[in-house]
Amino acid sequence: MTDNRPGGRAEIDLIVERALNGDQVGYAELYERFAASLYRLCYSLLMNEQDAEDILQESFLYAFKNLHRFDSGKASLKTWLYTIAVSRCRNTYRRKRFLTVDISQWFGFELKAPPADAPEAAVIRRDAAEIIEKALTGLSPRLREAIVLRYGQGMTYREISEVMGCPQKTAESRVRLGHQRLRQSLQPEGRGLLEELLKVH
Amino acid sequence: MIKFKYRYCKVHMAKYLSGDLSDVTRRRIARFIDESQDCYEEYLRQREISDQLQRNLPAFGRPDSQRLDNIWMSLQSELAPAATGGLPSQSYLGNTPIGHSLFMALLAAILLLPLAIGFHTSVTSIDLPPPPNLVDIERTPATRSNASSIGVLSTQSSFSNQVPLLQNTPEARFLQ
Repeated sequence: MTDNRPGGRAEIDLIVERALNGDQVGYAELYERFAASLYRLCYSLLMNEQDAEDILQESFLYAFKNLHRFDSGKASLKTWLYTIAVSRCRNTYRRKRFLTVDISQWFGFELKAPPADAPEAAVIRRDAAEIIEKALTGLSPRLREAIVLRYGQGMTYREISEVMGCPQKTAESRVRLGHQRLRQSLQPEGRGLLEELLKVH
Repeated sequence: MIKFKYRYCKVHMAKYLSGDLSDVTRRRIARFIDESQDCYEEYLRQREISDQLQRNLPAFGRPDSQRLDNIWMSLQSELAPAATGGLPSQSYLGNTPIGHSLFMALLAAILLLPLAIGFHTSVTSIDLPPPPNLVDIERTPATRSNASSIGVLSTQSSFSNQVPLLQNTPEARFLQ
């Protein structure tokens, strides 16, 4: 089944073909179409602007150099690009996890957090995005990927399974588990609190 | 039964909210939500989370155009040496049969180059063993006569082919 809508799969395939035939504008068009969403994906997974930029650049570099290997019959270009980016994100947080060692765990003492503001003041300062960012950071990388792809990128379970390289059922259960974990971590903030914060801002 | 309903709702709620369930399952969940207070509360909680995620996550880390332009510029500069036009073309040398054969020929040439250039010099640089001493062969009368006859044969053969053949025969005396 071909998607002939504007911006659909058939149109993307045409742009890819043009780029492969040496049309420089084709590459620019592909970048323009996918760069913003790919950056958002990388940022949501890594929570770091510099890392997200690096991964975005690396992913496009790899994709453009290997564009002739892309098989539109197997997956859409969007899924292919997301797979490349997610794989690089995984390498980055694996590397970061290795580098950021919790010294307190080694020496068996607990490092005290700096004194926080009063809860009310802190709640007023934070906005909904920060609360969700914090909750997402608390998720395991796999659950975070599933949640970000599902709710941040609006992907279907099938697409999520393709990007994450797992069966569709696994993708579904990861989204469900991530959802449950987020519910647990966001519950202490109080029901309806986010709504109120959004109204204030 | 209530526990079963609650568990069933909990498992399928995320998909129920995103409209990914089959008609039968969706209707069953809706019935459970209507019948059970626990299911209803679970529905409210999960709906709240879904709404928050759907509202906030798409706006998460939205990049400004300047940032994306900068990345595009550095991307172009990194891709520039890859091909003549700046961006890579499909005819990437390493991935065509011609490219492979050229590569193999080049590799073979590199491997054979030291042999072609340095082989003779490496051989001549090896010290040769000293030449063997001449052995003084004792000359016996037999060897001397053989040598002279050979000499006669060789000189006479240059003038005539017939003479050497006749020199040892009785008729040869008459010829002289």
